[in-house]
Amino acid sequence: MPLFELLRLTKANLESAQDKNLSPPVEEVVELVWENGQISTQSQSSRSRNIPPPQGIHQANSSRVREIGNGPKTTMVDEIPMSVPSLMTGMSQDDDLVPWLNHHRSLDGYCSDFLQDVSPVTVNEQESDIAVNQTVFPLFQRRNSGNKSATAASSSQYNGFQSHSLYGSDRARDPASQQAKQDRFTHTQEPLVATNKPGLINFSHFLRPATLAMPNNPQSANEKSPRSSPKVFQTRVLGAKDSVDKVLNESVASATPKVNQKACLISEDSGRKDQESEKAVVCSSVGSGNSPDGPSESPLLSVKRKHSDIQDIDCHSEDVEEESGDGRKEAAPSRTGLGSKRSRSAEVHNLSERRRRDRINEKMRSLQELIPNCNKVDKASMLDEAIEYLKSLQLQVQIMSMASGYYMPPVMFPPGMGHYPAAAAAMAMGMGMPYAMGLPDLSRGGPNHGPQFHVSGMQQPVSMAIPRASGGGFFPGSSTMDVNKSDDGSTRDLSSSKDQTTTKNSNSLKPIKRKHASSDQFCGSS
Amino acid sequence: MSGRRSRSRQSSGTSRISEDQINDLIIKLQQLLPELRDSRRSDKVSAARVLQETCNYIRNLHREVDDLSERLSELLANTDTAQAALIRSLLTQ
Repeated sequence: MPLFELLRLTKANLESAQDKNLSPPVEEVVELVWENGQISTQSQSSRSRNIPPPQGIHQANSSRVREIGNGPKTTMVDEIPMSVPSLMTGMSQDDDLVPWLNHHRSLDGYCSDFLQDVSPVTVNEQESDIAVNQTVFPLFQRRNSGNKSATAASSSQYNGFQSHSLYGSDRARDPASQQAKQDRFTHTQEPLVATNKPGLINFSHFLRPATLAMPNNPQSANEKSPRSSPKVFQTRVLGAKDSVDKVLNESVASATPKVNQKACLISEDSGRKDQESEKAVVCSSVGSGNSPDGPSESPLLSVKRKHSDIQDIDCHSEDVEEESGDGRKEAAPSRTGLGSKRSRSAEVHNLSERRRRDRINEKMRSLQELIPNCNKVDKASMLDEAIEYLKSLQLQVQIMSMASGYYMPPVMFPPGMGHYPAAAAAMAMGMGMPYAMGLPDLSRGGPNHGPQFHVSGMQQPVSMAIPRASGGGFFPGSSTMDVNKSDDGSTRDLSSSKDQTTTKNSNSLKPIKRKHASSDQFCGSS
Repeated sequence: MSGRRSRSRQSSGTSRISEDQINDLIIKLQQLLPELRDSRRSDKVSAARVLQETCNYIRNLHREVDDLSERLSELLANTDTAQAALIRSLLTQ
């Protein structure tokens, strides 16, 4: 045991010296080493004790963290004797820790640029406990702190630590669940996904000793089973692949009700995560050789992708815009190296939003082409125009269909009502009639429009002949249709001027083409 | 990047009113469309869909108007030929 401690201690000091991090108090190092020597879960308990309560979105995560942490904390004292036999596994792990650490040192350049910026902040925030971790697990700390904002560092770092300490059972699957959790709880933690990827490769060294340690771990896990640890933790310790997958799915499913308000954000994040987790799958399959893990993750990814798609469809675009905007604003000050990633996701989101706007604008343009004489640039007035025009078109079609339906040769009609449909048809077709006419029949057929129309522009057949081209309205004054109640006069006019009407019709209706009606048609053959 | 973002947010804030107006107009437009009139507020139709349907509907109406004017002119022409011929003959006399 002391030898083992010494080994760890020297290694830790070596690392800390190399990293120019704070040199930690020795006793704290001893404590942590001892914890790590026993079982990796104990290090969690120490960490969960010291985690400052995360704010806002992190709340659920921290509560679970506490649940996990409480169990080992209470049983820790009882298990001190237990730790002696399990020390053997610790030794074996420790032997592998050397290549792992060394191997990882080569990756320092990966995030060394982040480290200089953020790590002082995290050290200040998380006090000596993190200092300990920086010495013993400098790489954990470095990778986590290097990529995290100061506020998110506590919980996200915990996640990273948890995954690292538990990788013995299923390290290759852990990143997926970690992604799920992190995406659910905070949008600032995606970097961990990226940082897990190198971790995956390096943890492949641990695969064999971890499986060797498996016989020991279930025992300790069974002893700890009465504690109220969540399923995620237990399944991880037991290393049941199926249950892990189930848990992953559960985490995805439970993400939706819990974070409904942030659903848009999640979808955004998961959409972004898709890219990264694809890489993660590649890394896990390549690095650890656990090829079955790749397929086990891909359905999850597809589920998430579907989920994100649905969210994309359902979400109010404005909300998404706001959320992303807020997220960006939060992200902007604290993050330096991650700005590119976040901005990339935001750009992806902006792209979809822009696509939507483009679609709408395109439709607007085509609508504008359909509306005659609509030169409005403003969208609102354009739509106004469209509504008015649509109404007038409906009215026109109504009148025309009614007229054509009612229209019969005048001789077949009963004397009283024979000519109204004809007049209506003529009017509907834009025939200029040199008299005001009442159309009582129209009130029966079309409830939408006024019973009688007095068309002010009737003396100018040309303007009437092109109803659709004349400013969008069926009548020039369609919005203010005058109601002419003089039924007697109109009927008399109609009957008396029937010949005139028919001649006009015969002259002008033949060549009628809505658009081509012109004045010379009316002064043609008569 | 952030500057662009803040600008766009500003513009979105100022255009929020007209955004609401447009939404109202879109809903009004939707009420005019027989295709979408039945789908009440329960299931929200996207603005792009409403506009698309409006375009389709206007095209349909145009076609209908064309057909109807054709038909009406035909009817009027057919029925009027006899009388027109009569009147013409009377006039030419």
